[in-house]
Amino acid sequence: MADFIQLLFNGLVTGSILAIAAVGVSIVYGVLKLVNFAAGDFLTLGAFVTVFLSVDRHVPFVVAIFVAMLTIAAISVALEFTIWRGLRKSKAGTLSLFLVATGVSLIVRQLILIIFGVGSRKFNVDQVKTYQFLGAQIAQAQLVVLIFASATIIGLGLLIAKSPIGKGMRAFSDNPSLASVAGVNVDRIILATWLISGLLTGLAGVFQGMVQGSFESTMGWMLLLPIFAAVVLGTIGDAYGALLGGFVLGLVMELSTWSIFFGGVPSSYKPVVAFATLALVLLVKPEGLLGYKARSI
Amino acid sequence: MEAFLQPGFWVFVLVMAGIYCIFALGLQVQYGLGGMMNFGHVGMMALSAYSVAILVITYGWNLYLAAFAGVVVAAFGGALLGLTTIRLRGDYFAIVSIAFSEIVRYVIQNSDNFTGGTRGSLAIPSKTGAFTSYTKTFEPVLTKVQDLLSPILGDVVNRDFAMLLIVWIVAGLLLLFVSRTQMTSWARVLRATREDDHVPSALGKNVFMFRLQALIFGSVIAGIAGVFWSLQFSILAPEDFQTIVTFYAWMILIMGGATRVKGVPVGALFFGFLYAGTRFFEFPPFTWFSSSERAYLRVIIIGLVLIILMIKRPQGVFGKREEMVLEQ
Amino acid sequence: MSTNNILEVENVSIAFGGLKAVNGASLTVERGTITSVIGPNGAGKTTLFNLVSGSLTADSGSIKLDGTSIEKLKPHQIAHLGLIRTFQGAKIIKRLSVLENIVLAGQNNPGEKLWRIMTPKVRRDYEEAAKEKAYGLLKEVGLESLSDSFAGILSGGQRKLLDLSRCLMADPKIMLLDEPFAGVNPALVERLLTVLNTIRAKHSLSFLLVEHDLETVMNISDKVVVMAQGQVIASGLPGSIYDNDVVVDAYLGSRKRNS
Repeated sequence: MADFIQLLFNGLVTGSILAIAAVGVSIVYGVLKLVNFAAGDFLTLGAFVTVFLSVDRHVPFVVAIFVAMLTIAAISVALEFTIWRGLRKSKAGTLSLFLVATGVSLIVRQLILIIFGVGSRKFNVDQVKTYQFLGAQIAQAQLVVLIFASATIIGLGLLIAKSPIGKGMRAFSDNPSLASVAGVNVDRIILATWLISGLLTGLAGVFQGMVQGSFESTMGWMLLLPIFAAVVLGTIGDAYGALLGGFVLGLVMELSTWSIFFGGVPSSYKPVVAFATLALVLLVKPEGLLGYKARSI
Repeated sequence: MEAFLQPGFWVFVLVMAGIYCIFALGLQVQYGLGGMMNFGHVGMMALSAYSVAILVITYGWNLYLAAFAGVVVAAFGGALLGLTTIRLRGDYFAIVSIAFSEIVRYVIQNSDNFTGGTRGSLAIPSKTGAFTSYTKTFEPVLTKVQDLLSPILGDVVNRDFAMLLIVWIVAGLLLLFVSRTQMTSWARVLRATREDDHVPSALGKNVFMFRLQALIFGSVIAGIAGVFWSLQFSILAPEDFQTIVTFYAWMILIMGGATRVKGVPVGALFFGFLYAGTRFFEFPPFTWFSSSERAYLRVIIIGLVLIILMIKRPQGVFGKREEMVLEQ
Repeated sequence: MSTNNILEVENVSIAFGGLKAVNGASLTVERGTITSVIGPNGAGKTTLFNLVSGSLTADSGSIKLDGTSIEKLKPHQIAHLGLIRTFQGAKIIKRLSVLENIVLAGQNNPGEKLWRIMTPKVRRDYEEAAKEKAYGLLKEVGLESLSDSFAGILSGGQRKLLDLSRCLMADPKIMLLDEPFAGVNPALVERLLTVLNTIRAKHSLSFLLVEHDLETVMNISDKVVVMAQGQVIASGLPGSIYDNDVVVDAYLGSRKRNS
């Protein structure tokens, strides 16, 4: 039972991080039809900027996190103006967008290596302190992440549901031409999308770094595939679906290591579990958990 | 800078370009013909290369039999990927195919007693218990080629030069074979499916089977590339088969113009020189960086070239612009 | 049911979510005749069409093509049995040449098997014969001068003609035409009707047409089937449809609302 509580808790923590990152990827797909391969590396960048400011430059941790989130958001917006806008204007196909996004991801990863070095980094947070809860060991860092991530997710849900920007984003993902006819300011929606997605990605990176303890330049790439799995699981382009997909996947990944399932999956295979889940969902319900769209063939 | 002038270095670059040419040719069949955005292509190469090493080292198979088996394993990999994912829309297919190759890599990395894990193919448990090199039956072949050629061509002929000939001869034959297949009605149906699923199936074509065949065909070619990869390096490591390798193949394909078979070798050579040539950027601003940092810069430059290519000339060197722009 | 029916659709239904798009529809197409399905938008005509051609699978009911049950088959299998359909707006393959678009439709092409790369002679013989036949079909509709151009350059009307000849290349027993006259100018409607009549006489084919507009298909149809809200509400000779009260209420009434 203690095992179960432990894994459930771990699953919720992983799930909340995946959910935040997945929403970032999903809204970009919904509005721009762009699969953002660079999200994983921006996630890493968020963690590295934070560690640089808070550990190397002694900036207060919370301030460092905000600066890191804003940095990612600013870069995302800058890329919109330098790359994505032009590609959309020239009616670039799915493949072009894919390849450019992969190119951006490679460049960001190498820049992290050049700027911040090869070694693994740690935040100045207490990694040792744990609480006992029904026999499970709950690390302070995990608890903090879960609380703040949950708050972020609730805020995010409200933002998408209630705010004009959120409504505009949803209208635009459902039907771009209708939305622009209905007077939604497309340019503003796109900028807001990049901004929100950048902030979320940066935040998810910091959370993941806190939970992992120490992290390297490949952190985000390792997380990218589970993030995509969450996005697809929750129907690509659907923000609420991405939240749900993130939690489902986080729980599945952690619970799969539970020893009552044939001795449990080795934890190094967690990403494989994420994809096995995804493959299963795609086979049974290809439109995702919340999907209503019919199959193409 | 010395290496820049050594023919041996350029021979190595050409061998790599040849292997990448074969590898990218597999993608050409899948994307150029069938329109499938396979981003997990490297998985098939990994399956084949590791199969060769494991079958020879652990099971004591004959190298050539193992090479054949490696290609068959890659074909099965393609079939597995295809059976589960071909019905998916393009962007889903791309994501799941990346996942496929990453899963292959995770499994290789984490199966220490079978693949050698993170320590690479050197740690594959051998049948005899003693260390065995899986390429040892291939080295005499290379020596024989060297003996045949050095009287004619002189000092330039070394192991890599022999390899260069073999790789490019196979690449040439495969190019010929693939361009032959592209003139068949089989290819015509695939070209039609690239544009629209419904019309070909309404005309009696089993779109699923055609796509599956193209995916397996491309995977077989990737398997052949994997065999040469394993022969060229004689040591394999899981990190050799990262997604970036698939990305390089895409770059080759795009540079040559995705729908043109003859573009593939040109793209491969261009890529080979770009990849190797950037080693010699020993002038400012590159000298401000340490040598390990310059390795990262090289990848950045390749990334930038691809981005600029996609923005300025998405059709590549030989392609027509509408081939890339008219995607759904 | 007489055996003279090439197509027998019996009591088919399909629902999307709660909506019964087609609800117990039945119809037959007699060999060598043109049957037209008409009805207002949302009547379930195209859905019925997709059920017959296999793009959708019916929840219940049976569909027989020349005596063979096809309701569980996939589109390509149904096409093999001799039912060839067109799509709304004449979908052509833009990056293939006009001639290749037609050759593509040929059935049992040995060159479509990958291993036939080993038997170039068999492939070439078929290809030559197929190209000759395709050229002949292009001549019938007057597009032969464009045979080597990319199909993407064709005008809307030319695409419809190409679509028709492409169907013929497959040697169908029955052709399903999905709104062939939608968005076509009156002159071209005349031309298409003429071509259809010629084809029908020459190839002794059966047709099932879906059309929004009753007047266009009046003269060419042997039988008209009227659909509304997923059901067949009337069928009979074209002339009899005008006198049918149910039709006037459901269909002609709704046309007034539409216009």
